[in-house]
Amino acid sequence: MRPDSNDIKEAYISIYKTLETIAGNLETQLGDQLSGTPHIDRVTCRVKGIDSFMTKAEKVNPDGSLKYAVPMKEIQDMIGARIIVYYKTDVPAVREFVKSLYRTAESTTIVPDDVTKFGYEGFHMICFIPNNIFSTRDTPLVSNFFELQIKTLQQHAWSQAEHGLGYKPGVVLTLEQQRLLAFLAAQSWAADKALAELVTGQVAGEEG
Amino acid sequence: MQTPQGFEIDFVYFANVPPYDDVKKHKHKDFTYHLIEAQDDELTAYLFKIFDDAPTDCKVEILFTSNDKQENEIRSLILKIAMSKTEKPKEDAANDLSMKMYEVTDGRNETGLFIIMQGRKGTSTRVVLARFKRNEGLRNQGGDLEYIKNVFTKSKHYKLAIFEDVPSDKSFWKGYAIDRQSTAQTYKPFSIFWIEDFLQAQTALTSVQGTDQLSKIVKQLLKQTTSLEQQEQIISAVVNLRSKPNAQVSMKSFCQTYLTPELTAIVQKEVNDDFFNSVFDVNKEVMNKELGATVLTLDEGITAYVPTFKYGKHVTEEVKNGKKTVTIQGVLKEKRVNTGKEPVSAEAKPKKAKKNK
Repeated sequence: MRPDSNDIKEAYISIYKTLETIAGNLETQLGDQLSGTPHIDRVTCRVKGIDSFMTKAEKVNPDGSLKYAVPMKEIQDMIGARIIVYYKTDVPAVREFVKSLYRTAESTTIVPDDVTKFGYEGFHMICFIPNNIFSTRDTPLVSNFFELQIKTLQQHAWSQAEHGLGYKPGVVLTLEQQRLLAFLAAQSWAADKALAELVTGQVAGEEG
Repeated sequence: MQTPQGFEIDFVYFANVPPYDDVKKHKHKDFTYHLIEAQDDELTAYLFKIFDDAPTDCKVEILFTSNDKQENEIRSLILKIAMSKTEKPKEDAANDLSMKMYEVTDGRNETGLFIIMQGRKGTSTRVVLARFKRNEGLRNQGGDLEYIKNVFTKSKHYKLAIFEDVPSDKSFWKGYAIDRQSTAQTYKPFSIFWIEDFLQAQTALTSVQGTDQLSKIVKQLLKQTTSLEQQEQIISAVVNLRSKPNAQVSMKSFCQTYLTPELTAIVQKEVNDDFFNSVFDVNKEVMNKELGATVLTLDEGITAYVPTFKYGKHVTEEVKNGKKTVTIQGVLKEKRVNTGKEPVSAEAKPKKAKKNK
């Protein structure tokens, strides 16, 4: 049986400081490892806020049942790392490097599921926290995982701006709002594409 | 029935798993297997001891290998044993696991006694898998249960893996393993048969992560050590490791092979047990980057070797009159003149023959 919300919240609070230490160590490690890599805008690592964790823990399925039976085990982004690169062409090399550094359970390129739509894009991985960063042997509540996202500046800018508007999943947007968001996503997508073409020299400069 | 450490045991399974036979292609029903009811006897006591001791016995952290969608066949079967409320699904999963064991067992591994135990304590569930090498001398002595008891009491060779977690769809990814037959030097076959082929798992650290951390510890150790003798010991350890292609090490095997107990004790204070025991492949690229040497070739036949990680501290580069010059600075510890001959001690020097007058 699932523990009640207060117990879940208390359990999360009890490990919060440990998660902050792990996040700090991961950020330092990723920063050091990527220090010589070109086109890295920033590397950040954060711990999911208590309210945000609880909101996720209380999510329900379409049939009304709770989405997470054991939130402390099933929510894998208690710690989230993000690497922002300049161009889309930088993503594969960074992705391969991250895969050589961490054991991974999942990797997904997130794109809209319909070619006629524009929306959130990015590369997400669920990685294992390496035992030299933290050993979870005696702390079963601390997740074995952290989420790592690799995004371009354009993808990051769009998702931050969209997040800032405060639209939550499940909230019904008007048609006009949906079209404006899709328009902005399309602009970001086009900017990424144009930059990638420029950086790879697909668009030749004029001589003279 | 509870183990001495308070685990309520739900499930104990045994199967005699022979090596894979390409002709017979056995099914799991061909293996002799038992579900054991825990009772107050010697066999149960022995099993409970294995179960309770597994966390301290198994030192090498392992992770199930994922297909990038958080799926792994063996993990799913272990999860089924951990989460099923009734015995039948556990038994089905155990039979599937013994079939997987059969498929990866070859003639070198002989028939093995494969055991699965599952128990609960509080919110945690523990699943222990073991494989005992069948002792030929024990075959056909009494019934199967008598045989099992004999294997336990007389066999010192076994492989073990433990998985313990709060059961959920996303748990049971991590475990610990050991091979009571292997030494650090023969880790590779163990890792291939038990961890990679059967469990479809991998050791916890990637070669890049493990080598990078080992390099950091070695550098830290060099910084902390003031004794010239100890520094030479560390440097020679690195040189030795660098010279071994495809080496697989742990911090523990590195210390045991190359360092004195004093230096090992310093290392153990710096790292947690899981990292100390973690096995990883040495990554040549990382090793050379972190612990390699920079060779400086100067004019007039002068060559200098500087550890790359000490380069910035001891070497200054300048451009003078369009030419790059370098200055190496440090406290002189020893100066040797290479005469090109083996040094010969005064006592060993052959005396000049007296000239006959």
